[in-house]
Amino acid sequence: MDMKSLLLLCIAFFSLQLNAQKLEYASALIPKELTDNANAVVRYNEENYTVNSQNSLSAKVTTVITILNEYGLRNLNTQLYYSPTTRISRVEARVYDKMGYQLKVFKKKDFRDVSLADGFSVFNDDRMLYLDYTPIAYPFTFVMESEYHTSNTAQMPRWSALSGYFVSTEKDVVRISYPDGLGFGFKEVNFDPKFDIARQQETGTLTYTARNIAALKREEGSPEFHKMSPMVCFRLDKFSLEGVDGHASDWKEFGKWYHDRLLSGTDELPEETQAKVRELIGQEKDPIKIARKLYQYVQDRTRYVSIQVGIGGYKPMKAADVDRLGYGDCKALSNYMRALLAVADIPSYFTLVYAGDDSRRGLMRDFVSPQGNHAILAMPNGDDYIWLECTSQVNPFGFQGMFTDGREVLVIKPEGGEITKTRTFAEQHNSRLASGNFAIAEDSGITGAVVTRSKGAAYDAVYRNERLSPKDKEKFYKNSYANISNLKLDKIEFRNDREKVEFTEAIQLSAPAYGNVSTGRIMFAVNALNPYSETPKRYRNRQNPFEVERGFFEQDEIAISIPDGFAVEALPSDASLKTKFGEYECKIVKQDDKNILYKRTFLMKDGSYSSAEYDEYRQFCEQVARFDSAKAVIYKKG
Amino acid sequence: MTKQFLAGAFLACAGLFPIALLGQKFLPGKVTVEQLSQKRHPSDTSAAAAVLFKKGSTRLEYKGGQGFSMVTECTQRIKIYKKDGYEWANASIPFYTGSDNEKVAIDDAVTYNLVDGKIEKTKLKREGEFIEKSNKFWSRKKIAMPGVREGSIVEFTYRITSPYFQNMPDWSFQQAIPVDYVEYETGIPEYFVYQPHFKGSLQPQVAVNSIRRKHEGKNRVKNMRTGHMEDEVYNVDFQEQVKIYSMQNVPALNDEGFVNNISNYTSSVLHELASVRELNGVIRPYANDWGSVVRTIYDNSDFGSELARNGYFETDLSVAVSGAIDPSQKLQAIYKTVKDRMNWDGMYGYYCDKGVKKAYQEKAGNVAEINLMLVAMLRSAGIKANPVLVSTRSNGVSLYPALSSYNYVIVQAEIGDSKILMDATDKWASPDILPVRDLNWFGRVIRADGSSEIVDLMPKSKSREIVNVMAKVEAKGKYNGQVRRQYFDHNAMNFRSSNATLNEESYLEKVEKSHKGIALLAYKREMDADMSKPVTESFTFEHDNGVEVIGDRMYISPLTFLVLARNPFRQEKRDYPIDFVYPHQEKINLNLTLPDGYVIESLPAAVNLAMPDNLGTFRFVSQKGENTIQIAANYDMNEAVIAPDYYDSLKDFYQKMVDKQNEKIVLKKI
Repeated sequence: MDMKSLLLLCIAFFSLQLNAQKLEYASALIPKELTDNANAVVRYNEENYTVNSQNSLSAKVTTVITILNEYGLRNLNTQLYYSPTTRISRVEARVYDKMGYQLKVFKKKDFRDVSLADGFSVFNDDRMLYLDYTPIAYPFTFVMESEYHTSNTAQMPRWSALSGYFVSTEKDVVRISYPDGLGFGFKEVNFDPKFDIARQQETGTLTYTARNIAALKREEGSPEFHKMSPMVCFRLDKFSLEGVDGHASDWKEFGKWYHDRLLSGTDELPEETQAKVRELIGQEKDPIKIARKLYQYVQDRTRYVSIQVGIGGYKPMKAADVDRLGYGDCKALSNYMRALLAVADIPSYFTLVYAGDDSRRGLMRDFVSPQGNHAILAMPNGDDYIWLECTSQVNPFGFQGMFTDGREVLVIKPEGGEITKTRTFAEQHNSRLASGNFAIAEDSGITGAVVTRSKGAAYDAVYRNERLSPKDKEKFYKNSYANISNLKLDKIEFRNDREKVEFTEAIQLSAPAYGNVSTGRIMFAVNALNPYSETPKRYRNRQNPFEVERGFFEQDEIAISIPDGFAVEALPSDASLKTKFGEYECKIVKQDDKNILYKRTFLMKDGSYSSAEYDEYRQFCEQVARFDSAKAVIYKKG
Repeated sequence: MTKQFLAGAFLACAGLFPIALLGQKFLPGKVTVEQLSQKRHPSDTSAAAAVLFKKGSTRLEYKGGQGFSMVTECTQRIKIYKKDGYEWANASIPFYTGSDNEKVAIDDAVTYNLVDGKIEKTKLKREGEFIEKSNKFWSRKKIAMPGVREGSIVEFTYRITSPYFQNMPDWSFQQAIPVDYVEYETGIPEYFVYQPHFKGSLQPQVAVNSIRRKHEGKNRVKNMRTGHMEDEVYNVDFQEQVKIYSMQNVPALNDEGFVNNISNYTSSVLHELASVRELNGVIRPYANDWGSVVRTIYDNSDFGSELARNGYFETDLSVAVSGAIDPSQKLQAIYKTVKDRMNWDGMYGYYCDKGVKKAYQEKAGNVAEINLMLVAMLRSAGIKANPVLVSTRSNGVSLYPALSSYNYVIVQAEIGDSKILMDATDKWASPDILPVRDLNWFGRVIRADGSSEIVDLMPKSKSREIVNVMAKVEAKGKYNGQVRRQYFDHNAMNFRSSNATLNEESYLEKVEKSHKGIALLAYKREMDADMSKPVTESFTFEHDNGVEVIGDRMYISPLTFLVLARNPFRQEKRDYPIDFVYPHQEKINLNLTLPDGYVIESLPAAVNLAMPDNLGTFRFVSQKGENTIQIAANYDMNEAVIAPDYYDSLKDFYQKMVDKQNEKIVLKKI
């Protein structure tokens, strides 16, 4: 190689180096207010969507994110989903060091292609491309560019100005263009004035630009992220769902479309099954009693198997298939129940809902689009509905538990859809009522028996215990009475009243040393059987509001006896608290030389509160915990 | 019980079993009304489902013109007792779809129900079968049996045909539900030698037989010379060795806390291919002793040649060791260089993928690239160093010499008489402080001359934690003070890996949440960049619930916020060893100043607890001063793993310790 070409090579090399530096990606340039409480910062995100027609949407997305530390790595999203209706045409990723020098380039072939089988769904045809990147130093900046095309326009992309807890956004832009006549619509969610987000609207184009949105911190009791983070949703009146065209400008139309295109014709049952249903009904005329029988029939004959293929993600499999196979997913089983009720001429409606125990999430009332991740069945009962969860083989009839309670759902009737709210258990109905007794022995041992009746959401939390193995049952109750060490469970009995939806636990327990013994005295916590101890975390600087999604009510009445030859030296004083968060009361009454009666009520209210109220709430909980751990002292006489 | 003995518990030896006679072949019989109407399993009444029988075989079948392929067949009949057992009516069978495809076929899939006293059969049709492509190499066949209710019996057969005769599937006799009868048959032509290995405490019965197999036939093949299709006659005649392993009434396997890896205890048989005699008479050995396993690994260019490379790091190495005067400093410097530079991609294995040189340039690589690089650098600097093959905790304990016995590689260096283990994949590890995934009994060191030797991976010394508390109880029962806490060795590694990058505010909130009732004030931490140094933290605290004032007495639990509030061992019985991962020691020293106007009425008495065979000790001493109390609580767990025989004494030991640490001091007003 002669000198000249070597020189040329050097120049080429250096210019390559220069090209590869993106100074603007340097992590030192991030404003400090965005790195507080942040493990990653979205430096620049740009999403361009073009609605080409009712069944064609193209997307071009560029995301530049700086990952500040190893916790931020979980916010590095290198995944792209696709399916038979969504095609990824381009994807490229580049990595830059903290100075903005390019470290690495990844092309589509570097991405792994995997099935989204979750081990839960038996049938699932969604797939994913993803990249495994091992960071070599923090911070680093990751750029991902992708383009995809989908024929699904029913569920349009959503734009979020924040991508998760502990992630800030420096600049984020979304631009969507759409043709006339498809009925484009949009909805802004959680647009608090503290977020700097500008909207720009022109004919056929809508643009949002968000700037300098500081990270949200994950804190105990916070509302779900999606209830705090700013977001814009888009929709079309004329849409296409997995190859099925639709048109709906309100819920009524949407429900009608869903019914006509996805439900109708799926509810036929073989003559044999119809005959069986009629036989089962016999002379019964009361629709609720009939429905109870049929619900039991479904619970005994089917099981839940998740199936997610193509339109199957929306369209239930035929009732006749469920009848033959004895399984189906939530849509299939709800629809099967609907078909069985139809044989008895009882109307019922397929219903879409967001299910989840942890947090209630409702459908957005004013945003007509396919929403929800689960299906249940609504059976009219006067002005109200009875809600039927058809995927559970053990749920009582009409009981939703925490899975689908108190949230907006879409009820799909032949004449159209209707948004309504499912039942909420008021805290008073979400109750645990306990009565029992315990005796303290001379060596501070304890023997006791307690009967607890649970209702509402509290029922949901315990009724499955009757199905636990002896080992798991023991584990569960040793955990519930964790305050008593060396606990022996002498007897555990249950009564599950599915009709009243009430679960009764009768427990007999004992332990060799419950109290503390010193110099002829025994000190023991009076509330041995139900002390509250889940006190909320203390925050130096609480940021988020908080909510108590499901309040509860507890009532305990416990008779306590002390050993012969002992006398009471001190009893905790009665206590009473009344706050906006809840109410607490306990009374300790010395009945005679040997017997003490302990009475307690604790009401925790449902509610949403501001961050400023958090400390007060925490103190309320701590006070309750303190009252619940208050001790009595007894001493040996003579 | 010693470690060796425990390790031995995984291994069962085939030669010890009574040899049953062939001919008592198990015949499943028809599903009966009695079976269908049975409400619960006779010996495990809480079982949600049970395997009535599981009968399978793996044999090498000869197909004219194509040679041998491995066919595994398995028929299962499962009784569903409860709704919670419905998942047993679904099955998922993974198969390889790389270069040469495996094939899976489902057969005779039937659900039996009792309807009005009669047996009703429902067959699985195509609609209940589905193939799912997991990735480029693997797919799974899934089935969901029809018409399943409480009481149903489901039965299905699957057959996997595989060209990969090196990989005979592992067969488990034990499941998460009871198994009434299980049988596995292997049919191996004389050309192949497979060595069986057993796991778990239950031993199968073995029966052996030999059958003569003859295959004659014709294949149409193209004559390469003439280009015409011709008949080629084949005539193969061989002995097939048949072995039948069987077991009856196998109890359900259940997982417990503090268990290393439950698969170590699952009764099963694994087969290792030892050698193949090809049809032309040449015997091709596959690894069957440590020497040949090691040789095979060493000779692989992704191991041996990568280990021999050294040009890529020479300049950096000389800079790294420039300040070091003795071998020990050199070792530290080289280890630090590799650990700081390299970033582990999370991949296991003992072979390099992109190679050490490229990994070095890219600063990222798999475990082999990082640790072989470390060996090469140490050797290059004149320190004796060798790779150590390891089976990680997730891989289970290696039972026999085979390439698959290991899935990871670390480093052993020798300076004088001392041998030091190192793993540079973990930023928080240090010499002789290995990441927890590595701590799995024994590894095997491979020396440059190809010889190899077993290496004990388990930590020898106790990881310490030392806590000093200076605290004060005030007249109204306020309790506050200062804590200084030091973490050593594995405790330091764990502390660093879970807290080093957490910001202080979040860390304090976390500590307050775990130490109930305290508020942390002034906090300080000394965390040396040298990972072998301990971590020290100190803070002042205020405690809301540490003292109870009842009448004219004060009840103080001065250690409550620092120690376990309750015994972690609560279950009555224990089946598997208790795995503490590494031996450890905790020392707490408390100096408590008492309020004026009170005298000590009672003080927790001193105790000295010891577990049998010196497995663990706990010493508690309390002492009165003028207006102070000194308490020292020392806890030692001398072994990393405790055999289940000791469970009762461990449970009792822990209970007494927890009680003592939470015992109250009583003060009385004067």
